[in-house]
Amino acid sequence: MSRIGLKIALPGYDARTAAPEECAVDSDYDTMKVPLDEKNPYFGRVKVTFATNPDTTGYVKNLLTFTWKFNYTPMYYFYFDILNSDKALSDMFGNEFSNDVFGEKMFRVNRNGNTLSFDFVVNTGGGGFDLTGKTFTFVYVIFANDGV
Amino acid sequence: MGDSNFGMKISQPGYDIGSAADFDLYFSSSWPQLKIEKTGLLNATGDTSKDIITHNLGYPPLTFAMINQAGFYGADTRGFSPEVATLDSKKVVFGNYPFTLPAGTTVRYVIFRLPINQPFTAVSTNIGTAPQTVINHDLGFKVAKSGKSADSKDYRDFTLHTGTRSPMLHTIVYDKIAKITSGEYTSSNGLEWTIDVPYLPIFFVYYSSDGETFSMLSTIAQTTPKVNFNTTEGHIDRIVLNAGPSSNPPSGYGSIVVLKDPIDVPNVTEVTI
Repeated sequence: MSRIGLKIALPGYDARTAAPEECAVDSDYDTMKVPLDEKNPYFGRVKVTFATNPDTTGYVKNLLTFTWKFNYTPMYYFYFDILNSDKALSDMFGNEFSNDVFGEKMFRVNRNGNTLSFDFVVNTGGGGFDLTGKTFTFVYVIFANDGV
Repeated sequence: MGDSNFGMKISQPGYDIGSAADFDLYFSSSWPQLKIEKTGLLNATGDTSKDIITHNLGYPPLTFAMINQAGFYGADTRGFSPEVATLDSKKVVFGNYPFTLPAGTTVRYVIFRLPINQPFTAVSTNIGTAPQTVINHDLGFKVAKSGKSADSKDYRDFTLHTGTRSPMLHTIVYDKIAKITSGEYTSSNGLEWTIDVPYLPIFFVYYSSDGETFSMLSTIAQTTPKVNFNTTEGHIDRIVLNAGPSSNPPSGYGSIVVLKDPIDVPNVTEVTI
């Protein structure tokens, strides 16, 4: 098999013998990729305000929608910004927010044709928190790599 | 290490190599890109003796996981759920802490050639402030994967593509955690990273009680394990491993993996739901 590609070693290492961990770039290995698109930014910050209390099972609201031209769901990651969210929400953070499917309330992503939607979903209501008027902030990054 | 004045770098299309910020570089020979050792789908059985991906890298590697439960609450439900995996120098196990993964859950895993237990500090050449999203798509270079066309519009067909940002490593802080506090967002615990960039970068945090088996901590999950990282003061305020602070162990090992890539932008999208 021919050996064609690009390999650049980190300072102090010989590219001819360097392990992948010792290289800045090694085209034998795939990388994570964040598309760069000013019209459809794949990373950013979102501030969310609850108009009503999201305490009803089956409550699903869209947070972000992207035009997605590929036939796969990509990998993504969210960070909840406690410092820029209501203190009341921060207090409830442990109970109220999750991107995990086992949680009571969660983030999830779904692809429908060329639309990629990130939703806030309430699995089961209850908990006694009235979040009406409360805000929270998150930052996100969407990769071009395959998700699931 | 070597001479930082010797090396190679390529800026993103449209950015002057002489003045481009670190994150405006497509790569620099001073810091590594994240190289994927292994990725794929695992159909969970619910049996942790079977829900294992072996890597045998000899170190605990940076690992991502995203799961999907088809039909969960009326729709396919996908989430980035790093907390479903534990990893060591030989394997990644799904569903052994703190949850079991129900049979039928599909897991996307990504394992990188990057040890999370080896400290690393990249040479910084030009710390920028404003994340870029605008590039000239008429310029650049790309390296297609074997058997893929260089004319493909699918970024997955390339190992290198300057129409994208390929995350690059900035710092790995690996340290023993002297004490995990149970306080709320107020005190540090021995795992420190002094933020040396004027923006919020992509970062990940891992914890190990024994220095051998690590769990990635979620930054947003209701469910534990999770981490609260104070981006203003530059340290971890809180690590919750089990049901609550009272169950936190007194010590362990932590790893903060920080990439050069910003995820924060000056403009905030506001939505009301």
